[in-house]
Amino acid sequence: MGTLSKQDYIKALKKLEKSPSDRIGTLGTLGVVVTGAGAGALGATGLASVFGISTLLGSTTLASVAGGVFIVSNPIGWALGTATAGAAAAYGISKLVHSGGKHEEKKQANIKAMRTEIANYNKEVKKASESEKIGQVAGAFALLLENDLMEEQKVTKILEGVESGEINAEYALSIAQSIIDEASNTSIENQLDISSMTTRSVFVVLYKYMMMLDDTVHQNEITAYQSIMEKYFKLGNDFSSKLLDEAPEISDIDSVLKDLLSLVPTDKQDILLDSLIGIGFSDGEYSDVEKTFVTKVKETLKS
Amino acid sequence: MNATMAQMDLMVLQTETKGMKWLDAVVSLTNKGIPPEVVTRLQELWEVTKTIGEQVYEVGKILVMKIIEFIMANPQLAIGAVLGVAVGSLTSMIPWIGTMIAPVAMAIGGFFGAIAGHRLDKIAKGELSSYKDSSIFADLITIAKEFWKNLAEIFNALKEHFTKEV
Repeated sequence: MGTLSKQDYIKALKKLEKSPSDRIGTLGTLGVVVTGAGAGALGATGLASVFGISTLLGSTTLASVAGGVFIVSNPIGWALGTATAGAAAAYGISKLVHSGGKHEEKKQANIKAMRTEIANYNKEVKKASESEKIGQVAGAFALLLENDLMEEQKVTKILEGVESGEINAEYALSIAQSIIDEASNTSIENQLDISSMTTRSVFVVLYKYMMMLDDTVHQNEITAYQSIMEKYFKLGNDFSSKLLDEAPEISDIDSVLKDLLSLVPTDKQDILLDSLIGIGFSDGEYSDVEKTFVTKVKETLKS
Repeated sequence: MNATMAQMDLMVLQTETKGMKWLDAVVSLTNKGIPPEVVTRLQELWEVTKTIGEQVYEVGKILVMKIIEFIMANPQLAIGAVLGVAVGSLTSMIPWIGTMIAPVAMAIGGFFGAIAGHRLDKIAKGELSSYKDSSIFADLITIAKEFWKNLAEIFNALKEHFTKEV
């Protein structure tokens, strides 16, 4: 007890999700105190007995999770679904941002996938029987754990609460949903705060911001962004790969900036401007065109 | 602390109340020398619940549980002083629970005498300077502030959720 690694813990939660009826053993492994007849046996329930027969199940589960994260919610596919951008564009965008941004992008994809999955848990839990509800909560919290959005200790306690009826399963899931939403907002700020941006990554940051918008709600903004890319860079749908190869020539920096900023909500503009002002140059890393662009941006913003 | 994280922490506290019976609380409090009149007021507090979404939080039970925890952690001091400081600093740190706590506070004032009541008022108002002459009191207040810190953060983050209903 208490010596589970995080991965073991997540696996246990996933297992609990798959077979909530077997929760006595799994909850015991998680350190959740179970009262009643099953409690005596818990002490002897080791990791091996819980996971022994579930190796296959475990890996299947993991595989399906990975599939969910990386296929279901491919962020590029999501953002440019209507703009017919392919996997190459996705790769291009990843390459544009520095490693921190890459990590952020992955995290963002995870968050999007989680949001969808937790929404599903929410749907499922409403029709689930009492004993199945804990499985839904366990599944959702496993996702939060995987993404460092929650502490194991709290998960344990809350599962214990759901198990004993102290905590309403639907409510616990709604809180999980809120955590995802907040993590998503934080990520937007982090992304806008990338301190070492190139000319191109200024646009990538904006692009990524657009990407995080819900395409059903913010279709207008996304279209507007695409039209700005088209207007100033004449790159069309293929802009990401072209951005990789050559820095764009910009004729009217003020207009570009104005147009781009009009896409960002007022409360996020400051973060964006701070990031732009903070752009630094690494030796020889940026072309003259980029340097000119950034210098102009800085001058414009400072004035 | 934002409201979401506060609810997460409150779920943990709610779970910790599991299996806590009022009778056990009565035994603990009575054995500590708390008069029945105060215990009765604590029972009123014990029964207070607040609902957020579909979740019923037994906030009163959580508060009493914590008050008992504080009393147990400070066995060396007069029970009146410990209880007074616990309730007084709780009220000063989470002002909006004043109405919930008031009956208990009044009972403490009545049964532990005017001095305890006066101290309680002072603590509630944050006028701690008058206790500088009593280092034990000052220490106890410091301990209480530290003790309630986490709970105060949680409750204050949820003030809107808690005060809009009822």
